[in-house]
Amino acid sequence: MEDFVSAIQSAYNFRIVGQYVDEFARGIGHTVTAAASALVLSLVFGLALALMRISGRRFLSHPAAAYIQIIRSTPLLLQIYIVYFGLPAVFPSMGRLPEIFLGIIALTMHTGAYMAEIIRSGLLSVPSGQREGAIAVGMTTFQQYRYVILPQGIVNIIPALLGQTAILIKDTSLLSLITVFDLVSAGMLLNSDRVRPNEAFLTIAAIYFVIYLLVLFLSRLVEDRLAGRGWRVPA
Amino acid sequence: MDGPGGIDLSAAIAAPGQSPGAISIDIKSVKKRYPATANSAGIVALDDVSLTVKSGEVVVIIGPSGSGKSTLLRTINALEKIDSGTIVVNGDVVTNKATDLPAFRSKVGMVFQHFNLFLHKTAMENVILPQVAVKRRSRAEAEANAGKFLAKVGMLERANNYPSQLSGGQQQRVAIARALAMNPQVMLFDEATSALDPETVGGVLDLMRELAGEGMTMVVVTHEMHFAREVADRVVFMDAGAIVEMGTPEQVFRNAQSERTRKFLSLVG
Amino acid sequence: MIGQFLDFLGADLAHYWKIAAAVMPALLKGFVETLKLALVGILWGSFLGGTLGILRGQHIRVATPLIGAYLHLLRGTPFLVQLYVIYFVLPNTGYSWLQWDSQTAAFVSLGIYTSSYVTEIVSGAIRAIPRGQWEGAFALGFNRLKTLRLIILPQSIGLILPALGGVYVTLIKATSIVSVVGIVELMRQADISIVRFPGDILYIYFLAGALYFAFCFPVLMIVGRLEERSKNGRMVRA
Repeated sequence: MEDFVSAIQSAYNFRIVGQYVDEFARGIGHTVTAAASALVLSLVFGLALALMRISGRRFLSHPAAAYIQIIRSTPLLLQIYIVYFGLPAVFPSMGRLPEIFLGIIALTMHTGAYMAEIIRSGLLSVPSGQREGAIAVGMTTFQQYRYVILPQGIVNIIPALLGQTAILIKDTSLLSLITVFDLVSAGMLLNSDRVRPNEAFLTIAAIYFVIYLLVLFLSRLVEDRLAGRGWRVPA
Repeated sequence: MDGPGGIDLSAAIAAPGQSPGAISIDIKSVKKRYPATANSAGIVALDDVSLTVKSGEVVVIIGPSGSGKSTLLRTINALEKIDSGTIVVNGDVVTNKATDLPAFRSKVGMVFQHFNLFLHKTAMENVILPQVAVKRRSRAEAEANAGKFLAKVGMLERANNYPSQLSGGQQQRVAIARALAMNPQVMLFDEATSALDPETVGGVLDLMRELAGEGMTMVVVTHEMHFAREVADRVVFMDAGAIVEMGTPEQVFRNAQSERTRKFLSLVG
Repeated sequence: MIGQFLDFLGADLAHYWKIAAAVMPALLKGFVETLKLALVGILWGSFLGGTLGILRGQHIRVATPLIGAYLHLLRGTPFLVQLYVIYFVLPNTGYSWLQWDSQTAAFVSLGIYTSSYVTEIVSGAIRAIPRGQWEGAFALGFNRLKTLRLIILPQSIGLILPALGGVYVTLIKATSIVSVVGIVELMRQADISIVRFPGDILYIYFLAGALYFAFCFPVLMIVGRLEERSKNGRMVRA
């Protein structure tokens, strides 16, 4: 038994991890901040893109579609670097912003495209008769969306949105590469101080996994709640 | 319209060592229960059922939905597992874990309600593939066989069509040819006409009638009462997982002993 | 501010041509490396993922929860972290066969990452095949393996291949991340080129992006079209 305990201890020393709790907390804080901010912003941005795409007006829908295709066909890391290096080059005032802002902007521009696709499918899944009914009772376009189309469309896509959120949380890990002190950076700090890769990287992985499980749990809860409602995304 | 008149199916009735009158299928005290779940109490699917079928006999099983008749049929070729009891088919102990099930099943033909033709193969290939892959016949022999049986069920012209290009009745005829090409000793029919349009039901029933006339051992689960009356040697009425009544068609249809049987028959006419 | 932006755009075209000529050979070399990494990744990932997917698609009692746990683990952690674990932690265990160099670590982590997608795709495709196909085969005397080989897998390929194209694109994008362990693929080449031409960071990254785009976009379009066809083709045969 003692051998077992000491074997675990040599593989993963909880004390050392404990010494870095503050750093990990700081890292988690930045990770969560970046993810939450990017989530909100990308939903807004994604909604705008989705509306542009389905607007039927070519000068809106084509650029939106092109933007989404470009985002989907290039790596996130490249997009982050372009924002990190490019934005301050074009707008020098931005050079003074903390890196996390730039990271959030990059994540928003990236995730927004994926959110746009999800939202678009949700909007399209609402039967066209609903819009016609709303028009018939005299609602303005804004009112149609606010009271009839969006409520129905969004309920359908909540599982997909949660899935994209999980992806976003993982994507924030790349911010460590533009010197944002996120969860990954916290672990890297431990490793560079103490040269203990296990305690560093396994901890990072474990914390990400816990966050993922929380999102998964939330997703199941939401799906169960929705199951009784009769909204079904067309397969 | 293709008709199955004058089919010689004796080639399919190659049941070695099966003298007419010997017991072909022996089902003894079979029990099956679906375990209780969070949403429902356990259901008794088969309640101590025993049945014997003689070689060359045609047994038709009737009964309301949920009576267990399809379940019973599917235990014969072990598509359904049972909790207790024994099933012996022409010497093979189906319920014995040591039995080589694929080899056994190649001797038993089954026709399904939803045909279950292989969707990615043409009609001809559907009849050839099992012969080559399971019975290990040569491709040439299998092809010749396939041509023969497809002709006999009246589907030779459509041999190169895929199931998606065939009507329900046509698919079912191909399914029957596929089963017969394996030279089975026993044929099982699981509501073979229930999914067909009324116009095509007759054609398939005629095929089954021919088969019976040639002496094939058959167990048929069906809703077609006139078929049962005209073709069956024995009729079995099942309800709630148990055999309620059994006898010749005259006995069951004219002179049912049980109240439940009479009630069911009055509903189906 | 707008003026600065326009100045930036209107700068010397000849200058941009010169930079491109200087930088493209290195970028293309990096892109070839990217394709190599992606190829190994998809081969290993398909092999591992295909096997796991076949096991998972059949409701085999012991395998399903285990594979499910494996998938959750992979989906719940960022690829960067997986790469670090494989590159730093596994060699740390002391086993000789885990002492790999950065390139092998990159191959392994890309393969495992890919397998998590492939497993889902394959098991989903297998489960999409109607149960009657299994029963029809069993009733004729096919055993499980024969049924899989002759009846089920041929029918699921049509569902698997389009989705696999999408995985390939995801994989190409993931190769950009292995640049952090020193593999000289396209991203790394771009970083190196930037050191030579620090005034043209954005432009060089755009060139790299164009290369990624030139490859990924057509694949995504083809995949999209294949998926449409398989969705309609299911109903309209031949």
